[in-house]
Amino acid sequence: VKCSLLSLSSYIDDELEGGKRGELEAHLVGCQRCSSGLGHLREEVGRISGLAPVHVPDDSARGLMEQLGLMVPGEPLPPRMAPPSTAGASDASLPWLHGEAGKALPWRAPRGPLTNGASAHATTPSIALQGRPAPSPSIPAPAAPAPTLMPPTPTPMPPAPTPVAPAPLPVAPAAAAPVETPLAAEPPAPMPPRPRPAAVNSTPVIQPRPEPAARAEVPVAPVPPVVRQEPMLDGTPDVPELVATPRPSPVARLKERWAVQRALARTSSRVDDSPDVIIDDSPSWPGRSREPAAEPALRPIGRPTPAAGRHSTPLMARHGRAVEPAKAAAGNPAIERLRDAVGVAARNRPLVIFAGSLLALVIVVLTFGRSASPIAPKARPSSTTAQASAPAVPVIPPDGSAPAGSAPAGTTAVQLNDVKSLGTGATGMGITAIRYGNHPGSFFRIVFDIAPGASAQAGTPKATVGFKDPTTLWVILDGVTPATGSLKPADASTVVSTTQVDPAPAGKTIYEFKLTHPVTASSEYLPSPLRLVLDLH
Amino acid sequence: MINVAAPVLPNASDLAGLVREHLDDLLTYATHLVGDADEALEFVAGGVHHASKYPPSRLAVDGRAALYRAVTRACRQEQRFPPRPSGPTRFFRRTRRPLSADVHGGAARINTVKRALTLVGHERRSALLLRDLAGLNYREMAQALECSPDAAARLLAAARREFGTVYREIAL
Repeated sequence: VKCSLLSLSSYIDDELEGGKRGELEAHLVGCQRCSSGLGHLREEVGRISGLAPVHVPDDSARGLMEQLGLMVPGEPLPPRMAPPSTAGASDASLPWLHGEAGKALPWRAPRGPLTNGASAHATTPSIALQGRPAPSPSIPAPAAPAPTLMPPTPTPMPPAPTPVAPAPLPVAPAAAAPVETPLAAEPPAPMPPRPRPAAVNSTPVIQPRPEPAARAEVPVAPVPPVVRQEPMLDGTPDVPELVATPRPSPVARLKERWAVQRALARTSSRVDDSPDVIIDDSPSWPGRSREPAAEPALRPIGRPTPAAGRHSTPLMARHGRAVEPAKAAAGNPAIERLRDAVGVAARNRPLVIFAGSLLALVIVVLTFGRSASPIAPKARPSSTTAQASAPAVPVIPPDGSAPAGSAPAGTTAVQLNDVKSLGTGATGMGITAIRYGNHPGSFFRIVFDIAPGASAQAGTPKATVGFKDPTTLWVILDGVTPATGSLKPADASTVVSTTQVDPAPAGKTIYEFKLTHPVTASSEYLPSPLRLVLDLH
Repeated sequence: MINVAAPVLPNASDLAGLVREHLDDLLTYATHLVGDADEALEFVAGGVHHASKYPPSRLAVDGRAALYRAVTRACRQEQRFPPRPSGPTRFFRRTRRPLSADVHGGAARINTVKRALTLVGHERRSALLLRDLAGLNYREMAQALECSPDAAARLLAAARREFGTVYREIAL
């Protein structure tokens, strides 16, 4: 047999085949490692199976099934489905089909409330006990249930490392047996919740786990002093038949949740409220038990209260000392407020995320929204009053596909500021040279030498002077042929470069002057010879 | 030979009886799986709702495993019933009558076992609870977890080892 966790786990669950099971049992006799591992596995199985059950009342179950469409309103609850026949080989392994609930877990009891024979837990044991003579209802049942109430035969368990009670604890199976017999003749009545027998204060007692068959066959009489309902050493509690509790209003639930959060924050240093490992410091109970410190309160689901969530045992678990600094910090009101704020934020996480996203969006819009405005700023004309009567700003598409003044679709129009127009509109002339330089009067002058051609008209050509941007000057001449040859090199004092815009609209000659700084321009024609003079101040 | 007979689907009353029988166990399982009984009830209702739409053909044999599979899937995928309204309409929509159930005091109490359970992965936690709390065998576990029985056995063994390690770290 291979020493493996898988084999041990399957062995615990009774899922090993017969041959392998025998081999493993023989192996466990000599292998201390596997024996201790098996003990650990049994402990963990016991812990999980000892988790508290949840019960849905009949009215809630009816409402649920009505909402799901499994029942029509007003229809009584359906009887529980009878278990199928156990004839099938595959079904024979189902522990819930033949009354051996938890065959691999012999200490596990049915968790549902005890009711009459309508329940599955009540019907299945009758199959297992069919061979026994049923006790007559008229005759009080003797101590016959006692054998069925005895704890199940323990499987051969290797020594487990779990600490146990120091002294051999007497098993008290007869505590429940005498009180059950008088009520055995009342099978039709719904069975009341089976309370735990009263705990004896003088001697610690390990309560045996009743067998499912006995619990279903023999009604149990209630014992008045109900002391505890939590798991005993077997780790399985009895479940009383709980009544439906009215659900509190949402506001009340919210307030209660806040109160719980605050209470939990204050008592964060109290750790390990485990009901299954509690050390009772009362002198009459010196040993170790799984008895809870207080009886749990019945309340709606999912709303832990501080009283129910924390046991009242003053002792703290060993690892509780590790969080002792948190206890000291709990008295600080600032930290308390911070914890409350964090708790509120944690509960309203979607709201916090939404608010954060909104804030981030606002910040982004305020930061980048001004430069990304879809409305283009208007071009402000210059305040030069002398040119206030100048014509409208010409729109000059650079590709020359359309005449000036109307930008065709798909082209980028050029808008000039501070536009000045002069000339009579004569055509047939040509530019012979462009000269510029600093004038002694502390301004910069640009001169266009214009010579009339063969078919020149009388007058001066139409010239438009404007600024594409504060440091770019455009001079547009209509009906003038451009100068041939290279232009004069740039003068770094005012003009950086001079280029001819190409292509230009038909019949126009455009020169672009890159300036070193913004200037204001004045223009005029000088006759004999004809010159266009621009003075940049 | 080809079997052309239509599958015999269970009727609603059979499914209702099965649900009624296992409702407590399903809710207990879901409560310890998700850690909150309110949500667990919604998940159980979601799983049962799904199972009512797609019931197993052999309800008497596979019904319980099918219910646990539906609830496990509902817990994993957060399928609630009634479904929670989403979007802006949730502010204007009237919610249905909420489901309610009573929980034993111990189920709502947080103890070391539950803390250790929350630290175990979802699949392994499901395997632990299906076997040790709900009492399913390996074949039913495999149906509920949608894997093979061998995989379910391996998953359960690994889950027990991890749970034991985590529990000892927390408790000691």
